[in-house]
Amino acid sequence: VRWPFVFWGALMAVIGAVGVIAFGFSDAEEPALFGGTVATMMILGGVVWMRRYDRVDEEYLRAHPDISPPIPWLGVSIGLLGYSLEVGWWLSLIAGGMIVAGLAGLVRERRAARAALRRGIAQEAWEGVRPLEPKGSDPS
Amino acid sequence: MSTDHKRIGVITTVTAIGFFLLGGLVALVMRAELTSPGMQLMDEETYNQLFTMHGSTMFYLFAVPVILGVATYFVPLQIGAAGMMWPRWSLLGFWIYLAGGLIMWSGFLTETGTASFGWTAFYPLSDSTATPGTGTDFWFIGVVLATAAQIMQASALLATIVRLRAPGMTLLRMPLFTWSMVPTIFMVIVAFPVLVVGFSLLYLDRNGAHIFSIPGGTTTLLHLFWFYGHPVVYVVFFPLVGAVGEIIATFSRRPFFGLKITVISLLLFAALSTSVWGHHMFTMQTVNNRFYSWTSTSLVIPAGIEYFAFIATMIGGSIRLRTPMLFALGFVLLFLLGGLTGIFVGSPPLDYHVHDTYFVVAHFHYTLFGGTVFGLFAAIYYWFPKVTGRLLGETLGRWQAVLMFVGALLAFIPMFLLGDEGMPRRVANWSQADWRVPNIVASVGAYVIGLAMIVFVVNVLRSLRIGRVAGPDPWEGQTLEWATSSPPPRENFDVLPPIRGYAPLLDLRHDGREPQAVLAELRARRLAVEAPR
Repeated sequence: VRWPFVFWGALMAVIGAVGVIAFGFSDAEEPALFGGTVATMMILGGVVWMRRYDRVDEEYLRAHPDISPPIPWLGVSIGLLGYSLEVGWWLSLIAGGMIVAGLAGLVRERRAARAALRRGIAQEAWEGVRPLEPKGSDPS
Repeated sequence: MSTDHKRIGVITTVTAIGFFLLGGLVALVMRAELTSPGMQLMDEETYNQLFTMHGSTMFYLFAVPVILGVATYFVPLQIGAAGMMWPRWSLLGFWIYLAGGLIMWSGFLTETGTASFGWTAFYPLSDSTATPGTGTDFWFIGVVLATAAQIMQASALLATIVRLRAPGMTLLRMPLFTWSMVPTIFMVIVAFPVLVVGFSLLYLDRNGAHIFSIPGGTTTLLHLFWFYGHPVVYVVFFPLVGAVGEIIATFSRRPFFGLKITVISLLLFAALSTSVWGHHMFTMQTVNNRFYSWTSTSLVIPAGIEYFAFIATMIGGSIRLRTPMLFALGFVLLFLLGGLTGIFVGSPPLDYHVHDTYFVVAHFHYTLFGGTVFGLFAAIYYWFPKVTGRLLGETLGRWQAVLMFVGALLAFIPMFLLGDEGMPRRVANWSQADWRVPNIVASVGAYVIGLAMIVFVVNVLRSLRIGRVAGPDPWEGQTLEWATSSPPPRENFDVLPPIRGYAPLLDLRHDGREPQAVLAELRARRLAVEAPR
């Protein structure tokens, strides 16, 4: 999976190198932007390779809740925080408090999801697509 | 608040289309003003705000989000995944995008109105001296939030493609639409953060930091902006190349011609289009025009490969001219106009002649409206049955396609003539007598497009209530999304067909087997295996 990252980064490196060697850039921003792009793609390719993301995760299993109320709450809070840059500090404080509450909700959601995984509820959600039994468990 | 990728995709797409209609309405008001010389409907400042919000809405709030919305729905389906990676991250992206859009538009509620310097925010026109006001600051906050949100949604999609492909779905077996999302997301990942940083710094500059007022600051900001501003055109174009390619293959009843070479050409296309930003600065004489002219002209190579693939797919096929195919053909023809005129503006001497004129407006409307919007409607007519379970009306769809095609020609061809004659863009008024007829024709064209949008809205509302039930595979589709019910269940698939190529359902047909019968057989087998449990 890492080859598209590396291939695209290499393409950008070649085009940037042609710009530097054959044409010459007049502004420092140009090689910086090319260099940043190449570096980003190489780092991403490296992460995919090192974390073994280049193998399809056939055992992917997450107990995502069907709905996640903290997310819209967080989204609205972040919007209010942006709004507060113009409206005033009082709104920043309210938005900040809302963000903390939203993050707390996410933590709670995550704990509940882990508990659900342990109980095997998540596996039931995958019924028909994944095996019902978690790896290593006794089917009986 | 659902974490189902299909719900996230639908709410993102519908919100983006809502912003599209809003931005289109603004365009109609602008064209009404430009129909005749003098100021009829508004003052210059209001016009400036309207064209700023038209461009900003179309780019920041419609084009990119609608692509991400459609991809969030269909990419997991096309790769046979039961869900998406980081669905909450993607959902948060939607909410931040919505907040950004509302903040951007709320500038109209302030005393000074919203931003009035165009979607490009050229400096020093966008500094706090030239355009003071809270509404303008809202615009910057809105753009930054919306763009950051798009990075979030794109990254979740990339993670999904990397990690959640079904067994057998190797990279080169991914369908063209999903493949087209890969270079698209690469560009989002490298270019969009540059805009977020650039506009955040400009916001600070407006509020006393004096970041870009130093010598060379203007050029720096231009580099940062156009490093985003040019690739974004391709961010909204590539996925529709993918969608249109699949539509052409499906409605020609043939496999897509040259998938692998098209994939490589898309990656090359993306690399080149991320390397051409300096052509927007030809007339400034601060960049190496020869380099950017070379990269800009080189774009015809991958574009040519894609056009060749489209045509080669149709040749020898049994073509069905249903509404999605009509829009796909409109996409191919109209984008060609935008692409070919791109060669003009990619050449410095010609660009000097037409710089900042209506020629440029016509050029990018053929790429964006002709390309993106036609491609989007092709995708909507193609995938609407999968999302809703009902087909969109064929007669109304054909009317919409014809009206949009005629409208696009009437609205934007005169702009080429006006630009060549020297009519500057971003003006609320004009006075030359021989610009009268082209301006009237352009306005009529814009209203014809408006009429087409009304037809679309009526068609959607009608089809949702009394549209023909689609079934799982109304078009004899080729890719995995047609292997599940319409709309798909929460986990997307109950069974998957064998994946031996990019078009598993077409492979089955080539083996002389009916895909739905094979799927029914697989379901029966699965039930038999699970029954003892």
